[in-house]
Amino acid sequence: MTRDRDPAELAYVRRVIPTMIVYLALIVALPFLIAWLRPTGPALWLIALLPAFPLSMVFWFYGQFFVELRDEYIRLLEIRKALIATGIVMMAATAWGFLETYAAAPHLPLFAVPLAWFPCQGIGALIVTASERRAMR
Amino acid sequence: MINRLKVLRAERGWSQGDLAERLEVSRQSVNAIETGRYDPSLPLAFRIAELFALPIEAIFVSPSKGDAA
Repeated sequence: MTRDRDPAELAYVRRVIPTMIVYLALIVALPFLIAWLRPTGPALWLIALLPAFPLSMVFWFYGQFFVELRDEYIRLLEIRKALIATGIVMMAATAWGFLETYAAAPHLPLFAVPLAWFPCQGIGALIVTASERRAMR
Repeated sequence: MINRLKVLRAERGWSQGDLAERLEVSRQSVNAIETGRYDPSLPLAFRIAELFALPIEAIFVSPSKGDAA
Protein backbone atom coordinates (compact mmCIF):
# COMPACT_ATOMS: atom_id res chain seq x y z
CA MET A 1 0.00 0.00 0.00
CA THR A 2 1.81 3.11 -1.18
CA ARG A 3 0.62 6.70 -1.35
CA ASP A 4 1.91 10.21 -1.57
CA ARG A 5 2.90 11.73 1.74
CA ASP A 6 0.53 14.40 2.97
CA PRO A 7 2.37 17.61 3.99
CA ALA A 8 0.62 17.29 7.38
CA GLU A 9 2.68 14.14 8.09
CA LEU A 10 5.93 16.03 7.57
CA ALA A 11 4.68 18.96 9.67
CA TYR A 12 3.80 16.52 12.48
CA VAL A 13 7.26 14.92 12.43
CA ARG A 14 8.91 18.36 12.36
CA ARG A 15 6.97 19.37 15.46
CA VAL A 16 7.29 16.11 17.37
CA ILE A 17 11.03 15.45 17.03
CA PRO A 18 12.28 18.63 18.80
CA THR A 19 9.49 18.33 21.38
CA MET A 20 10.48 14.75 22.23
CA ILE A 21 14.14 15.81 22.47
CA VAL A 22 13.09 18.44 25.04
CA TYR A 23 11.00 15.79 26.84
CA LEU A 24 13.90 13.33 27.02
CA ALA A 25 16.30 16.07 28.15
CA LEU A 26 13.87 17.00 30.95
CA ILE A 27 13.46 13.36 32.01
CA VAL A 28 17.25 13.06 32.35
CA ALA A 29 17.74 16.48 33.97
CA LEU A 30 14.82 16.49 36.39
CA PRO A 31 16.25 14.25 39.17
CA PHE A 32 19.46 16.30 39.16
CA LEU A 33 17.52 19.57 39.11
CA ILE A 34 15.39 18.52 42.07
CA ALA A 35 18.42 17.24 44.01
CA TRP A 36 20.28 20.49 43.30
CA LEU A 37 17.49 23.00 43.95
CA ARG A 38 15.67 21.01 46.67
CA PRO A 39 12.42 22.80 45.86
CA THR A 40 9.34 22.40 48.03
CA GLY A 41 5.64 23.23 47.71
CA PRO A 42 4.45 24.89 44.49
CA ALA A 43 8.01 25.16 43.10
CA LEU A 44 8.41 21.39 43.37
CA TRP A 45 5.05 20.85 41.70
CA LEU A 46 6.02 23.16 38.86
CA ILE A 47 9.41 21.49 38.33
CA ALA A 48 7.86 18.01 38.56
CA LEU A 49 5.35 19.03 35.88
CA LEU A 50 8.01 20.14 33.39
CA PRO A 51 8.17 16.86 31.38
CA ALA A 52 4.37 16.80 31.19
CA PHE A 53 4.36 19.92 29.00
CA PRO A 54 6.29 18.55 25.99
CA LEU A 55 4.51 15.19 26.27
CA SER A 56 1.12 16.91 26.32
CA MET A 57 2.18 19.03 23.35
CA VAL A 58 2.72 15.85 21.32
CA PHE A 59 -0.98 15.03 21.80
CA TRP A 60 -1.83 18.58 20.75
CA PHE A 61 0.33 18.08 17.62
CA TYR A 62 -1.59 14.89 16.95
CA GLY A 63 -4.81 16.89 16.96
CA GLN A 64 -3.25 19.44 14.61
CA PHE A 65 -2.17 16.58 12.34
CA PHE A 66 -5.77 15.36 12.06
CA VAL A 67 -6.99 18.87 11.25
CA GLU A 68 -4.25 19.59 8.71
CA LEU A 69 -4.52 16.31 6.77
CA ARG A 70 -5.82 17.28 3.32
CA ASP A 71 -7.10 13.83 2.44
CA GLU A 72 -10.30 13.06 4.33
CA TYR A 73 -10.05 9.29 3.84
CA ILE A 74 -6.49 9.23 5.18
CA ARG A 75 -7.76 11.32 8.10
CA LEU A 76 -10.37 8.64 8.78
CA LEU A 77 -7.68 5.93 8.75
CA GLU A 78 -5.43 7.94 11.08
CA ILE A 79 -8.31 8.50 13.50
CA ARG A 80 -9.06 4.77 13.34
CA LYS A 81 -5.43 4.01 14.31
CA ALA A 82 -5.63 6.47 17.22
CA LEU A 83 -8.91 4.97 18.42
CA ILE A 84 -7.46 1.45 18.31
CA ALA A 85 -4.42 2.65 20.29
CA THR A 86 -6.66 4.45 22.80
CA GLY A 87 -8.85 1.37 23.22
CA ILE A 88 -5.86 -0.92 23.81
CA VAL A 89 -4.26 1.48 26.32
CA MET A 90 -7.52 2.00 28.21
CA MET A 91 -8.15 -1.75 28.42
CA ALA A 92 -4.55 -2.41 29.54
CA ALA A 93 -4.74 0.41 32.15
CA THR A 94 -8.05 -0.92 33.48
CA ALA A 95 -6.71 -4.47 33.71
CA TRP A 96 -3.45 -3.33 35.35
CA GLY A 97 -5.34 -1.22 37.88
CA PHE A 98 -7.26 -4.27 39.09
CA LEU A 99 -4.10 -6.39 39.07
CA GLU A 100 -2.42 -3.78 41.30
CA THR A 101 -5.41 -3.65 43.62
CA TYR A 102 -6.17 -7.36 43.98
CA ALA A 103 -3.14 -9.32 42.77
CA ALA A 104 -0.21 -7.30 44.16
CA ALA A 105 1.06 -6.41 40.69
CA PRO A 106 3.89 -3.84 40.81
CA HIS A 107 2.74 -0.23 40.77
CA LEU A 108 3.16 1.60 37.47
CA PRO A 109 3.32 5.40 37.34
CA LEU A 110 0.28 6.94 35.67
CA PHE A 111 2.39 8.54 32.92
CA ALA A 112 3.00 5.01 31.62
CA VAL A 113 -0.51 5.24 30.12
CA PRO A 114 0.15 8.08 27.64
CA LEU A 115 3.62 6.69 26.92
CA ALA A 116 2.14 3.27 26.10
CA TRP A 117 -0.24 4.97 23.66
CA PHE A 118 2.59 5.63 21.18
CA PRO A 119 3.63 1.99 20.57
CA CYS A 120 -0.07 1.05 20.54
CA GLN A 121 -0.40 3.41 17.57
CA GLY A 122 1.85 0.90 15.79
CA ILE A 123 -0.65 -1.87 16.53
CA GLY A 124 -3.41 0.41 15.22
CA ALA A 125 -1.37 1.02 12.06
CA LEU A 126 -0.87 -2.74 11.54
CA ILE A 127 -4.59 -3.45 11.91
CA VAL A 128 -5.63 -0.57 9.60
CA THR A 129 -2.99 -1.46 6.98
CA ALA A 130 -4.00 -5.14 7.01
CA SER A 131 -7.66 -4.20 6.62
CA GLU A 132 -6.82 -1.79 3.73
CA ARG A 133 -4.72 -4.43 1.96
CA ARG A 134 -7.52 -6.95 2.26
CA ALA A 135 -10.05 -4.45 0.91
CA MET A 136 -7.86 -3.36 -2.03
CA ARG A 137 -7.27 -6.95 -3.26
CA MET B 1 -22.44 4.08 -1.21
CA ILE B 2 -22.95 2.66 -4.71
CA ASN B 3 -21.48 4.91 -7.38
CA ARG B 4 -20.45 5.07 -11.04
CA LEU B 5 -16.99 6.45 -10.39
CA LYS B 6 -15.13 3.44 -11.81
CA VAL B 7 -17.19 3.52 -15.04
CA LEU B 8 -16.81 7.29 -15.47
CA ARG B 9 -13.09 7.04 -14.83
CA ALA B 10 -12.70 4.16 -17.31
CA GLU B 11 -14.66 6.09 -19.97
CA ARG B 12 -12.01 8.78 -19.78
CA GLY B 13 -9.14 6.31 -19.71
CA TRP B 14 -7.97 7.50 -16.32
CA SER B 15 -6.25 5.29 -13.77
CA GLN B 16 -7.14 5.59 -10.09
CA GLY B 17 -3.90 7.54 -9.71
CA ASP B 18 -4.93 9.98 -12.48
CA LEU B 19 -8.28 10.61 -10.83
CA ALA B 20 -6.65 10.96 -7.41
CA GLU B 21 -4.27 13.58 -8.82
CA ARG B 22 -7.14 15.54 -10.37
CA LEU B 23 -9.10 15.45 -7.11
CA GLU B 24 -5.99 16.12 -4.99
CA VAL B 25 -6.61 13.06 -2.85
CA SER B 26 -4.72 9.78 -2.43
CA ARG B 27 -5.21 6.79 -4.73
CA GLN B 28 -6.31 4.95 -1.61
CA SER B 29 -9.20 7.41 -1.26
CA VAL B 30 -10.30 6.89 -4.86
CA ASN B 31 -10.17 3.13 -4.37
CA ALA B 32 -12.17 3.34 -1.13
CA ILE B 33 -14.86 5.52 -2.76
CA GLU B 34 -15.07 3.38 -5.91
CA THR B 35 -15.48 0.19 -3.92
CA GLY B 36 -18.09 1.76 -1.66
CA ARG B 37 -15.94 1.42 1.46
CA TYR B 38 -15.99 5.17 2.02
CA ASP B 39 -18.65 7.79 1.41
CA PRO B 40 -17.01 11.09 0.47
CA SER B 41 -17.89 14.30 2.26
CA LEU B 42 -20.25 16.66 0.45
CA PRO B 43 -17.39 19.01 -0.61
CA LEU B 44 -15.45 16.08 -2.11
CA ALA B 45 -18.60 14.71 -3.76
CA PHE B 46 -19.12 18.14 -5.37
CA ARG B 47 -15.48 18.19 -6.54
CA ILE B 48 -16.01 14.78 -8.14
CA ALA B 49 -19.25 15.91 -9.78
CA GLU B 50 -17.62 19.10 -11.09
CA LEU B 51 -14.67 17.14 -12.48
CA PHE B 52 -16.99 14.87 -14.47
CA ALA B 53 -19.38 17.77 -15.25
CA LEU B 54 -22.29 15.74 -13.93
CA PRO B 55 -24.81 16.25 -11.13
CA ILE B 56 -23.95 14.39 -7.92
CA GLU B 57 -26.93 12.07 -8.30
CA ALA B 58 -25.60 10.96 -11.70
CA ILE B 59 -22.49 9.62 -9.95
CA PHE B 60 -23.69 8.54 -6.51
CA VAL B 61 -26.77 6.41 -6.02
CA SER B 62 -29.01 7.39 -3.15
CA PRO B 63 -29.06 4.53 -0.61
CA SER B 64 -32.86 4.80 -0.54
CA LYS B 65 -33.06 4.21 -4.31
CA GLY B 66 -31.17 0.91 -4.36
CA ASP B 67 -28.73 -0.45 -6.95
CA ALA B 68 -27.10 1.59 -9.71
CA ALA B 69 -28.53 0.99 -13.18
